[in-house]
Amino acid sequence: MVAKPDFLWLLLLAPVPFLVSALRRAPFPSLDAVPHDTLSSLIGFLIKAAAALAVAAGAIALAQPYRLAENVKLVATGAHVVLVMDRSLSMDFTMDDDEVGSGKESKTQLATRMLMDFVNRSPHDQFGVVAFSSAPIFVLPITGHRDAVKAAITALRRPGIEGTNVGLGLQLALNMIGHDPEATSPVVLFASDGEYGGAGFFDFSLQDALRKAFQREHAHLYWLFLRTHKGNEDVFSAPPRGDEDSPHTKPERHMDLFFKTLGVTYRVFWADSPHAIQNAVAEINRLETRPVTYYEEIPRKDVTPIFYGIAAFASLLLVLAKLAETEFRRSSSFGGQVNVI
Amino acid sequence: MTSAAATVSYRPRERAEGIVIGAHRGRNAGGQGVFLDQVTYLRQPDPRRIDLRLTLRDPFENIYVRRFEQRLAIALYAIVDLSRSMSFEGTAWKMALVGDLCLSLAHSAHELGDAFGIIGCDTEVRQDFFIPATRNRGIEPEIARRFADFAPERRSAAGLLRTATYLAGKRKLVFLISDFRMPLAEIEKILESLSRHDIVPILVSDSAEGNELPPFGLIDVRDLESGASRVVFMRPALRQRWRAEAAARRQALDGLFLRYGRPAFELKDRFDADALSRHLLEV
Repeated sequence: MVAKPDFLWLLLLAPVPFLVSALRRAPFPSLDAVPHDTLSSLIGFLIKAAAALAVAAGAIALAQPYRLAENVKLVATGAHVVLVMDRSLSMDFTMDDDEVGSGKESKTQLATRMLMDFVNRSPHDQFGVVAFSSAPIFVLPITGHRDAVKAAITALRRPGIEGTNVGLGLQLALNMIGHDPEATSPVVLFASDGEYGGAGFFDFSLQDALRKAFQREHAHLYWLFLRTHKGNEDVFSAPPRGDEDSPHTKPERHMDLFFKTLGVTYRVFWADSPHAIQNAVAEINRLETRPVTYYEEIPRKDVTPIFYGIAAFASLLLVLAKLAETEFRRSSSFGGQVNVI
Repeated sequence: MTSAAATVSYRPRERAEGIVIGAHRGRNAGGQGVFLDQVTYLRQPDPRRIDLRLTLRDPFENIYVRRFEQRLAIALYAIVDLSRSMSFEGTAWKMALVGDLCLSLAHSAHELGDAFGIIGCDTEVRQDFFIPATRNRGIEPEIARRFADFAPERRSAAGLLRTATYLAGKRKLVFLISDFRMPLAEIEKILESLSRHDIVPILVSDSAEGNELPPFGLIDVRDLESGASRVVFMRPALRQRWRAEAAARRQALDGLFLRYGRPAFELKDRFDADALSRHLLEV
């Protein structure tokens, strides 16, 4: 498209070089005496073509052409990942549930660092971001804009808010997936340190809705579990005989059990050390190699300089031809007079 | 140009016909000139030329008369190609060269008492450039003026084929002045139509056409005759080819001219009357 279409009338001048020569013409009695030469014919045509090109490109450049903004549909290997980040107060403590300080970073910092790393390593993945504490927070819809995703992850490094409601966070993530028709290979990457006595998750209607939503979207679920081992306690295994085995005493174990009943790909990555998290990220990248379709927005672009460049190049050819131009010898002693005897 | 034009010596290849007394050996035997033979009085009843010595010596008592070779005048015609290719201006302007040649021929013809005329042709025989042969010296300035004013404008020299009708009658010395850029077959037709005359082809050329081509560069060649143009990327190899082709054509032309009498005289860059005289007297 062009910004100033009136200048396109000048394109009518483009064939003129084929009618009028750019070179000074050297009169000669008869072309029959001029040997036929392929190279000469080629150069002659090139000069005319270059002149026509210079005129045409100049006219188009004056009209200020631009390329329309467009949505390009691309297919790549990757996934539509919704990052679900726990923003509860407990995330502001270190992995060992200590106060932050003296070189130790909080779980939030660690998790955002790792997520950032994940985003950097997956060039074709699309990301959405959801945060949750007592209630879910819609941060970023699924998008391919890396800068937006990174900014959203950076924004998660705010101090935590009271409460943990994993179920609502997951539900919002699944809604986000459901609203994106392109999300054909959805993944929910859920970074949390588990429930510290939180309830809310085990509302049966919510459980039912989550199960249905997971099955509808065929979303894979990965849980980045941010906690160190404490002694020989294992949050996922059954408690010693006699102890109460309920969601209130062992919430992580029961969440894990619930996720396993969903019928979708599910993994827990126990992030008890920074290395473990890195391995988890690598593992997710390895697992998620389904083809994804996504759209990339290419903004309107002014291509005027290209046409000016073409015109300049063609003109340069003409100047070279002009410099190489010569004529049949003409005697300086002859002044056009008749008296030669 | 109006000053004394150089004189060209010429000689018709065969004996002249006609009755006008002039400078060339004629077919007729008459009362003056170089001794030819003796015949009986019955054949040439001219009592003023009776050869007494032979008459007295003859035992049969016939009367003999001396005969002399009558010298006659001839007519010269310059048939001039006035097509646009003749407007080429290289080392010299071709029309100017032709003008000089014609003026010199007129001057030479009038000095010997011969008649001189010009037939100019482009697509047709140009009536405004037709000067019938005359012994009148007064036309010389007129010839000069015509050539000075004339710029070739038409695209063909087809009129050369129709000049024969203007040259009816006695054998004439015809200077066929052209650059001979037309096809060889056409040249042959022209020569054939003029074959009863003594043809002197004058090939008007220019060193800029053949030898002094630039060694390198782009030339946009415009055909003076048709107006078409073509770009030539001149380089040593092409220049060599160009020259070879020109030489081959020149050779073909000479072969053609020799079949009709004389090789061509090349009027190149400048008019040299002495060279033309040598050329005309040699053959």
